[in-house]
Amino acid sequence: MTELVLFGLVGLVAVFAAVFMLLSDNAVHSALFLIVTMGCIAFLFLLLNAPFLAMIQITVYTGAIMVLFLFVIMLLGAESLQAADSSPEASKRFPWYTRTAIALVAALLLIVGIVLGQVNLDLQPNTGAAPQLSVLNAAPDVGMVDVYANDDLIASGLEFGVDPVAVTLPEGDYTVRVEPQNGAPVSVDVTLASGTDQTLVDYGSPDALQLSVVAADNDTVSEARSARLMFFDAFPAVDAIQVVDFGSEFDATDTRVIVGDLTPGQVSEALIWEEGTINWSFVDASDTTNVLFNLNDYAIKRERSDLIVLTQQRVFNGTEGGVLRPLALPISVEARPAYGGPRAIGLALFTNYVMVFQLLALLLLAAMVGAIVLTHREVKPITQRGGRRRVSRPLVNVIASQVGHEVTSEAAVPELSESAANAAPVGE
Amino acid sequence: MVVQTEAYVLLSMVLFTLGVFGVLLKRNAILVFMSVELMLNAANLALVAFARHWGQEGGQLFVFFVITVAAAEVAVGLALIVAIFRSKQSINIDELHQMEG
Repeated sequence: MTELVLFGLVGLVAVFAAVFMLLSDNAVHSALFLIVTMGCIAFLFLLLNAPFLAMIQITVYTGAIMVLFLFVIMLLGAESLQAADSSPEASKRFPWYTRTAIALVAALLLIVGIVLGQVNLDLQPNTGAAPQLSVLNAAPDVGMVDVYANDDLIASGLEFGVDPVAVTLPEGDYTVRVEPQNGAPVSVDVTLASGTDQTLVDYGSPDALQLSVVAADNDTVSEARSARLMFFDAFPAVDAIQVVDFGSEFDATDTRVIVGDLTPGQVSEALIWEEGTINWSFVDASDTTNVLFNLNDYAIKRERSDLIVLTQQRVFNGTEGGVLRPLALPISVEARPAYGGPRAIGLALFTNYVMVFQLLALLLLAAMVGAIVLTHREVKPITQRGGRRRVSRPLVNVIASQVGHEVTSEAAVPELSESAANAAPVGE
Repeated sequence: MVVQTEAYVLLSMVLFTLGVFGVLLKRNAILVFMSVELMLNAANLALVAFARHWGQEGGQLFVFFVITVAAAEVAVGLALIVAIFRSKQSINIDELHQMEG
C-alpha cells in the first residue's frame, strides 16, 4: 500500500513538473522543472528495483546533462525566448501549427490507450530472476544419468560427481525424473519459484537409488564477506554422520561439532561462515573416532553458496569389483548478485553487452569530437610587436573601436566622451 | 502491495505525450531539446518497468545505453545550438528556415 501511495505521489509530481516545464515562460525555470521530473523518475527507478540506474539517472541526467543545459541557456541568454511561442508572427507563419500538434498528440494518446486497453499484458510483476535447477549425480554405481523435467530432457549423460550445470527453467511445478544407465528411474516433485535455485542430488546404489531436493534458494548469502555452507548426507553406510572440527592436532580438547547428527538423505541447516580455509572431518556419529573423510584446506570464498555432499566412490584397488570409499563432493555456486544492483548490471555489461558497450564508447568519442568541431572558432594568432606597451589586445581593440584610431601608448588614450563612455560594451 | 507494471507504463505514456507536446509546440530550440529528453526519460521508465516485469536485466542495460546516447546527443545538440546562435543570433526554430525549398 505504501508503495502505491509513493508511486501516486511521485508520479503526480513528475507529471506536474513536466507540465510546468512546458508552461513556464523562463527557460531556466523549465530546466529546473525538468530536473524535478528526472529526480522523480530516479525515485521510481528505486521503486522498480533498479538502484544502480537511479544513481546513474541522478548523476548523469539531473547532474551532468541538465547542468549542460543550464549552462547553454545562460551562455546564449535564451531565458526569455519563450515569448516567441505566442507572438503573432509565429501564428502568421504557421497558422495550423498548434492545432496540428494537439491533434497529433490526441491521436497518439488514443492509439496508445486503445492498445493498452486491448492487450492483456498479464501483469503480475515478477521481480526475481528465472529459477534454476541443477542435478548432481552422487550415486557411485549407476553410471551416467539423464534428467527429465516434466518429460523434457534437460540434461543427459551426467557423470558421477561432475559439478552440475544449472538449467534455467520457467516458473512452475515440475516432476524431475532421473534415469540412470543401471537401475530404475526415480522422480521427485519440485516447485520452482522465480529467483530461486534448486539442487537435486541422486545417491545410493542402483537397486535403491534415491533423489533428494537439497538446497532450495542456495543463491542468497545474507551477509557480505561470508559464504553459506550446507552439508548433505548421501552416505548410507552409517546411520548418522557428524561434521567435526578437530582443531589443531596438538590440542585435542578444542574439538567442536559443527553439524550434529545427519541421517542419510538429510540436509543440514545453512551455516553462514566467514571466508577462509577449513579443516573439518566427517565422522560416524556413533563412533567419533571413525573418521570417514577429511576436508583438508577447503577454501571458503565470499558470496558463494557451498553444498558439500558426503557420498561414496567406487575405488578399484585390485580387489574384485573395487571397494566403496567415502568422498565429499563440494558444489560451489556463486551467489547471484542482487537484481538491478551495480554488480548485476556490471556483470551483464561485461558479459553479454560488451560489444554494445564498446560501440557506445566510440559513439561518445565521436560526440566529443563533434562538439569540439561544431563550436570551434578560428582565432587569428596575435602578433606581438616589439617595443610596444603591452596592453592586452582585446582591451586595445575596444579602445580603438571607441576612439576611432589605434592606441599604442597610455598617453594616446583620449578622454572618452560622455556618449562613448555610456555606449553598450562591444559584444552585446 | 507492488505497483503493477500497467501503472508505470501509463505514467510513462503521459510523460512521453507531454514531451511530444513540447517538441511540437515550443519555438525555443533548447526547450525542444529538453522535451526530447523528457521523452527519452519516459521511454526509460517503461523499459525499467518491463525489465522488472520479466525479471530480466536486459531492459535496465538498455536504459543505461539510452542514458549514454542521450549524453552524447546533448553534447552534439547543444554544440549545434551554440553554433547556430553564433551565426544567426537566434535559436528560435521558426527563423531557421534557410533550408526551405
